[in-house]
Amino acid sequence: MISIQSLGMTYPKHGSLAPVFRNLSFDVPDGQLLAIVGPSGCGKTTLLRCMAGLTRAASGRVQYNGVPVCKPSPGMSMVFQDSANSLFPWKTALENVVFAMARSTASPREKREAAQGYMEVVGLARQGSCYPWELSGGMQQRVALARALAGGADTLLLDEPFASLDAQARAGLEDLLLAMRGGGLRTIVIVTHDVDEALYLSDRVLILGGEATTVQGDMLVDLPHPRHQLATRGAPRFSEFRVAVHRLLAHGAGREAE
Amino acid sequence: MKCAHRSTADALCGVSFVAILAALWTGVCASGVVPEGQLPSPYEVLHALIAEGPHLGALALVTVRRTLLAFLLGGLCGLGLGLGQGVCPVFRKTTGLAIEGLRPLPSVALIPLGILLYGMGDPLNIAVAAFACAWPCFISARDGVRGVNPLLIDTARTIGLGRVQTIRCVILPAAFPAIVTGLRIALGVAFAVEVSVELVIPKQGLGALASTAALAGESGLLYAAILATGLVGLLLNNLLRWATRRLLRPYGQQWSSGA
Repeated sequence: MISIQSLGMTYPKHGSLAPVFRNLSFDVPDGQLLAIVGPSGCGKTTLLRCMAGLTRAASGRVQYNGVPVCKPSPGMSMVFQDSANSLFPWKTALENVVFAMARSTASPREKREAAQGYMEVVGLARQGSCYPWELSGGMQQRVALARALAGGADTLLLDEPFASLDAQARAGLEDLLLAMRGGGLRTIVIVTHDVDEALYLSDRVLILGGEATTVQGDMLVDLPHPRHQLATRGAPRFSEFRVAVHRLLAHGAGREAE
Repeated sequence: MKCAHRSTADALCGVSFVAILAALWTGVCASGVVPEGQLPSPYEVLHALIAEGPHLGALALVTVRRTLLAFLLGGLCGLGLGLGQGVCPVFRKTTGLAIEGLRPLPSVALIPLGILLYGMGDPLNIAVAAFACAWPCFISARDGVRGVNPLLIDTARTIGLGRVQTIRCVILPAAFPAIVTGLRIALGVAFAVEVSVELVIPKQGLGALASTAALAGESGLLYAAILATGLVGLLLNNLLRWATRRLLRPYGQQWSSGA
């Protein structure tokens, strides 16, 4: 379980410190797929980096399974928005995945076999020997996902992982992500600015917004599983959720939803 | 096959242009526009090049040996300082002022000091050229390390690597293309400075030959020496370019195809 307790973050502005977000408190229970939505610049990425232990918050704290997070925790993996720049360009796709097991004591051969397995999971069984710059954006994102899985993480933090992809690749990866939940064994936190994507994927949506970002809404998404790109998105219940989330976002931006 | 055809055609174009230049040169010599003794004909230069071939070769080897030793010495010092400054902020703050103060010093200004320290011999040439070529290595290593994409370092942290492992497995490989580019520039600098030191202190080497030939008024030999120097420079550059391409192949087009 990830526990966020009155977390606050500031940034320097005109010689003083302006708040990015303040007093954020929420828990992510094990096995939940939580989507965090909010306007750009509201601190979603910073929040995720605090959870990953990559950035220190100005106030409050993050706990992972009861342990305060002050550096990256084993068991937690982050996939960055810009996967093209987070893969090691001098390593092949497979070597990138193997590298995530750098601290494992398995033999090199076992690691390669495991990595090949993860490449198969993300549908890149035959692209292992390609360098990242030889792959398309969607494929690079898949490699980044495989690498996150290879670290043995039971918690994945994803920062706008599909933002730069075309609709086709995006739908494919969304379904891959749902499949990767491992029957609810993995906790996944995904940051996105796409409300439909958040609803389609998640069990719960957290809406951020406001002048200094606070939680505007916290919604359980009880759409039935397994989800289906057409059926789920076409359901009346989906539209109701969408309207509700947009209302909360508009409220956070200080205006009424049309 | 298509590629091979094209490169043959390119080479033909280049060679014919050189031939045209040589013909122009011969024409200028025959016309008598330039006073005799200042511009020998291509034939005379070629003659000097062949007649003095073994001698030129031996001198070229001296120059190349000094250049490579200077490159090795200067490269190691430059890389050491640059990597140190790149990975260790404390080292950067401590040594920054001293190094930035030393850097603008033109290397040839060190020749008198070199004479005082080493006398007139190989160590002088090597030290001065090493000083000059240390800087490109230093800058490329320092900025290469500092310019590593922070996402790669974040990735290393999430994987759970420690500081030393991060430097070894992530920062150094990521900075490698920039470092190699710096090394290529450094070799050119080392060669140029080495030849200029030889011109000032004519003791062996191609520069020394050019210097003495000019003083003795042997224009054919002078031109042959210049030509030989150019050829050696070209050879060194091509050799390193080939090595660079091979080394940077895993880093993709943007690095390995650079001229």
